[in-house]
Amino acid sequence: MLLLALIGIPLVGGSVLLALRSGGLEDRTREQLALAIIAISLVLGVVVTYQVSQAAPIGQASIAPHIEYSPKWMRFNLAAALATNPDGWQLSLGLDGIGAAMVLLTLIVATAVLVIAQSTVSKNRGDYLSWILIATGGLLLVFSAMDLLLFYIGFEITLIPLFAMIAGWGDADGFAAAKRFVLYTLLGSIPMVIGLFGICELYRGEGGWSVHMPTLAEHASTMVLTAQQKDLQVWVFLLLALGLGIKTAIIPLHTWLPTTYAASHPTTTAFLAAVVLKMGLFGFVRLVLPYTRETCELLGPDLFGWLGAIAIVGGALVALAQKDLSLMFAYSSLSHVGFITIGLFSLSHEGIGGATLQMFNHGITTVAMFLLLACMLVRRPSLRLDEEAGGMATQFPRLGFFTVFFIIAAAGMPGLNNFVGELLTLSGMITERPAVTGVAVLGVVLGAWYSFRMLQYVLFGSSDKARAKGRSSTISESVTADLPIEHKAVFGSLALLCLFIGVMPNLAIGLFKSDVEGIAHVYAREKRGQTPFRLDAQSPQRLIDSQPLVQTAPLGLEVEE
Amino acid sequence: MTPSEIVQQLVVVMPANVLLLAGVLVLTLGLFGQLATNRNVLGLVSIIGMMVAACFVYSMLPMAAPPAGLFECDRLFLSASWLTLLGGGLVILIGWDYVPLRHVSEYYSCVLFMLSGLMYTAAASDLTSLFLGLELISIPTTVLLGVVGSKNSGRESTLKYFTLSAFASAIFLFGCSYLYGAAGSTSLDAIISNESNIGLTRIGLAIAVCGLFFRLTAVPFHFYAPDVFAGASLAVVGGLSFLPKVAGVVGIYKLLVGSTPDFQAGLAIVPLLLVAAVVTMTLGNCAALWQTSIRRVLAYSGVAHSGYLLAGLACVVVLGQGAAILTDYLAAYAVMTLAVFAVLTAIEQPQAATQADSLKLFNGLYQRSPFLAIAATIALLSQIGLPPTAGFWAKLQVFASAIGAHRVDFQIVAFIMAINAAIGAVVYLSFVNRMFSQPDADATEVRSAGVAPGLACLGCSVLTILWFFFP
Repeated sequence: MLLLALIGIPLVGGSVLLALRSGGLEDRTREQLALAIIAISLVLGVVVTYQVSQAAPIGQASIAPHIEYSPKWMRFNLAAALATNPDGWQLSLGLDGIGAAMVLLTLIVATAVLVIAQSTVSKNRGDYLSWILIATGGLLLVFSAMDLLLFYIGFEITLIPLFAMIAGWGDADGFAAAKRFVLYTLLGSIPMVIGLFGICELYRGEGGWSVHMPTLAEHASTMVLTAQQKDLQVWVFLLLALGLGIKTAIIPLHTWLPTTYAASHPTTTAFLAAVVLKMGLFGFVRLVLPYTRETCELLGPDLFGWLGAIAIVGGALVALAQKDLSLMFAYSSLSHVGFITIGLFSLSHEGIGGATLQMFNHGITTVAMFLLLACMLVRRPSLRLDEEAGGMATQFPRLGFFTVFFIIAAAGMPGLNNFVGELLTLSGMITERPAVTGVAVLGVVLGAWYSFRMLQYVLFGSSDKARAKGRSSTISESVTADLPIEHKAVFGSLALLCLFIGVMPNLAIGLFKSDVEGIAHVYAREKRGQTPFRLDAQSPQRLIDSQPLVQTAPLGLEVEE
Repeated sequence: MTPSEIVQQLVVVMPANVLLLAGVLVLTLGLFGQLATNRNVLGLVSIIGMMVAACFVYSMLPMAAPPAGLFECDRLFLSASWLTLLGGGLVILIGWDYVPLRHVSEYYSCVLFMLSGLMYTAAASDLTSLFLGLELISIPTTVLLGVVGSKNSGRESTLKYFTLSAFASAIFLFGCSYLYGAAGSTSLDAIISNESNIGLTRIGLAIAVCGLFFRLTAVPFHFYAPDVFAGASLAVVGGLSFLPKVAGVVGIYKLLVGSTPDFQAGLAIVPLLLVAAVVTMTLGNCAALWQTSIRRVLAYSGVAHSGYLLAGLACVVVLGQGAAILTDYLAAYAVMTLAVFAVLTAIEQPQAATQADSLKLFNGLYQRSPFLAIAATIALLSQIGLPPTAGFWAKLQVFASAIGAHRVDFQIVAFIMAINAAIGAVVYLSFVNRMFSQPDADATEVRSAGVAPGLACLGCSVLTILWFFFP
């Protein structure tokens, strides 16, 4: 019930607020209502996450919800389902640790975006905030779907609010960019439906098709596939990878991303980069890894490992060449997502666990960076990176401080969150494909290079030349004060979260550790010829042996279990 | 056939008879001067006739053992009847304010005749009654095209439609003659259960199905659609876009599936259906990309939807399941297509026919009329197949059935369908794009949408959303 409320409140609340547009409600009131709605959702999200961390998984499959909600009324009787399954399909919502981490991330990001958007978005704020709420609802649906249909519905339904956000509040190219984004995504996600039904077809049980993920995963782990089914699985893998890869902007499929990011308002970009992108990555964790095991082993580490490495280095190099701040951040985000891809397709405990953690981390740092960009935009003439408009740090010391903090976090400073995630993903890959890891490490250096160059130009460069021409010509925008109190609160809490995960990663990892093991253990069995490893009390010795998540905790901290 | 048997037969298709009688009544009322110019009275008579028919449909139950004869009342008949009434009601609402005053009675009666023809088709259990029903649809259509659209282009489209319709009917009859020759009977049951002369039955079925492709506007019988759509009156085109498709789908279903699920000769036609489906949807979507006239875009979009329907038909034939995915698709198609036509009647200027159908009509519609723009947007999202709309389930079911057919050729078709859906999205999104952009400087005011088309738009939008949550 709590899950339903969690998804329903932003979705319904956002729609109602949007409809109230003509109801004569003041923009200001609608903004406050939107904030209230997201605050309630955030509280609910924290409660749900706590419940998940306390609950034991239901069932033994690799996708096992810790809490599940599947009442009678969600039974669903499509005509097409009649032929295969007389009972129709039972839809269900549920959360495991990975889903809970994503739900929490979505709500944190949405809250941060809502707060910052209130003072940086200039027109129709009420509508904008309502669209964000609707998009949040759609994302929560994806992250808590326990069947393929709801996953897909959530995946598609977010397109509508995103289209409105990119087109309505972007710059002059906003409309073209929004159209491109939606079409590109549809081109991948409609074929993805075929892949989803391919999963149903592959793992059909006695009673016909099922769309319930744990049931399918149960079948997937027990079935031995014939050669023909393996062929089908390759197709399923490719179709899913196409749909999810476009959403994730994996490198040959990324061309929608720069235009979209550059044309959107920075707050929209923050939302896109921090959570919408995660939908694709989450799909890889939820669908590709558990259901196309044989193909993942065949293609995964080579194909996606190298694609990830190319994304890391290529993204960083392109970011280095950018003159526009939002484009630079866009490519930087692309580069960071490369680490997550590498981690996922290392098919190891460390890699998948690190990738999941990094999905969370990347969301937090990215949203902070793009929101800072939004704050800069109202204090700068443009987001172009030139030496004449430097020196923002002297004028806005708080803004400068947070920018430096998050840049350092993103660059992988030990003690902050990204370090843990990136280290884990790389250490997962190093046993699999050392060469990939070698290339990927280069990206860390390049990452530091472009970030510090940006810091130098924007924050610390001199603004003397500009001052000589008259102060108003450069730093003359609508806002001349430093960050207001609510912005400081938002960025401060995000920074504390980074620090917290950096210092005590085990608390975060503990949330989804058992789920990651559930996914990774089938791969471990294949590779090492061992019996599958499961977390249980009977084997304390083995527990420590194969517990790399703990061993790689940074800074040599003593970590108690 | 004894008189009592005839009465029994007529009782089976009671709703269709009611519609036929209502049509005659409207036509007769049109002879009286005072009434003929009062569109509301005639419209209300038609609506009441449809309501009576609906009561009959509601009270009927599928018969377990259909009596031997021309008609039978099965599930397909009942669901097709609901579709007919839904589509007919929307068409009448769309035409309410749009049809020229002096042709009102002809318009309503012809629509009612078409609807009854559709019901006869759906109830047919014999080749003769099937043909009768099909002709009862196409002849009033020709009349409508000729009478209501009185421009030159209207005459051109009438002639085109009439010639091609006669041609297609001839092909259909040619196929029927083979079927009769093979089975020695015109009863569909006899044809399906016929064991001898399989080869002849196959050829006959293939030819008859090709004849029905005309109703579906499937390739290679699609090319009349854009011309007729461009020339004829919108009120007629709305009906033309939907009603014959139902007839075509129902006719092919009756020929290929019938009452027995594994009908060997029917299975042999499946490759033909698949090829036609792929070509039709690809051509429809790609051609729609290049059109500059709204009506032509809608015509090609209809062609594309026919492709999906054909793929669905192929699945139904192979899986031997009921026609439910097809009727679901048709219902979703009815509301999403007729909604666009309803919007179009409100924004198209009847006088300026030359530029009337340019795509520019949609420019900035949101600023000019938010209600119409939102209704059209919902309909177009449904045509793409995005949630939360009825079109989502419609497409999804066809996809699911195609994958569930366990055959490689079906999986390839499913993939092509997916690519096509994405191409279609380009077409429909460009409309959405235009609606929410700035209006042209010379854009005229939108005529305030009349009550009836407004009602049609509202009904379509509500149904489109509602059927997502309660499929």
